[in-house]
Amino acid sequence: MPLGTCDPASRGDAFNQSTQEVPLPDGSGSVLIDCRFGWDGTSVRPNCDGPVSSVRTRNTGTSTAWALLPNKKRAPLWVQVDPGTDVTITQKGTLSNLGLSNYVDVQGVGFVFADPAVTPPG
Amino acid sequence: MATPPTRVQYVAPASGNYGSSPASFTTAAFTSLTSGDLIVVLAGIENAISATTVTPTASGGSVTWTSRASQTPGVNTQSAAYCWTGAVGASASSVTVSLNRPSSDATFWWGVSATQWSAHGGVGTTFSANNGTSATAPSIASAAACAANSAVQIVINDWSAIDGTTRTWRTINGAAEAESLYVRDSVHHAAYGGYRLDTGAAGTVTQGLTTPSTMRWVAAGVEILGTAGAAAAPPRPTAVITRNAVMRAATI
Repeated sequence: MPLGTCDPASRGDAFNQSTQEVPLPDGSGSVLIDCRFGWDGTSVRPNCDGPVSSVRTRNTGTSTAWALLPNKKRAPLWVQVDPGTDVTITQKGTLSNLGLSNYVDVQGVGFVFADPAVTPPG
Repeated sequence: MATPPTRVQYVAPASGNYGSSPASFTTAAFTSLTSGDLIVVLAGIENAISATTVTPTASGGSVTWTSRASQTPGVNTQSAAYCWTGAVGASASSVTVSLNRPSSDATFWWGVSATQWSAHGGVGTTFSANNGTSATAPSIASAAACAANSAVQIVINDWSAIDGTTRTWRTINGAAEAESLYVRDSVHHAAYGGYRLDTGAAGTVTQGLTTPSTMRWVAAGVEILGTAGAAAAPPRPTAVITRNAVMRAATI
């Protein structure tokens, strides 16, 4: 819990940042999600919120991963990260259409390596 | 010489790991556990105050848990880190591992992971350290000499949440530690998971990173022993006693 407030400027930063990177199970590379966000001017720690300025996904391997975003405001609650891709979304309209306008929308991220849209048999 | 243990599978919660504060986490399932396997559970939490004693549970496999290392400074200016091992007593499939939040404060972000090892020789020495409220690169030396051809694991929790976009794991036996996890939220904390499959010759092993170099870190980890090969390692009384003790326990 670093010093400062929800305002990234309180830590000398231009933006707040939330990142997760894990290796792909097949060892071919890693998958990353990186979200940058600001401060809404009213929220206080530990419940910071603010507008998302960018969402980046990258997959350096040869297998697909899915970033689960359980607090995403629009279904599906995941983003597919295809092999060999490095995508950054900064347009507010696109982020809004994805349901990823605010920091609370991108919290709790995780990765899975099987298509979450496919219901396991049984 | 010995044969290094086999890292079979790494599992973690599907979402929110190190990025939320639930009362408990449950990992994804291990595909298949075999009696005699070893599970290493590593956990970290952003703040070390209001710590509570917790122990992992497994949904199957008759797992016996042992706390191996922990860093619980008990202050709100440092994080906490934990390491347990679980001896698998019965073969089972689709086994998940659960852990309660190691704090009574429901706002602290935390996380957990579990790694399955097979063909191992038991548990060796441990890794446990912190740098107080300093700002340094994490460097965690083994509590005792590691045996030849062991594997090692570590979890590092950075209270300062320094940007680890550029990060360099320390070299062990000629190669950088492999990374199992990097999570960072600039408002809460950062967490790193690392491992090395073969530590090479017997001796002290130092886990950690050289970059970032300004973390306020705590760390906990463990050595997973290999199995004896054709040519035994030179006698090292302390480590040998530890290994034999653990191997006997694992055989019972």
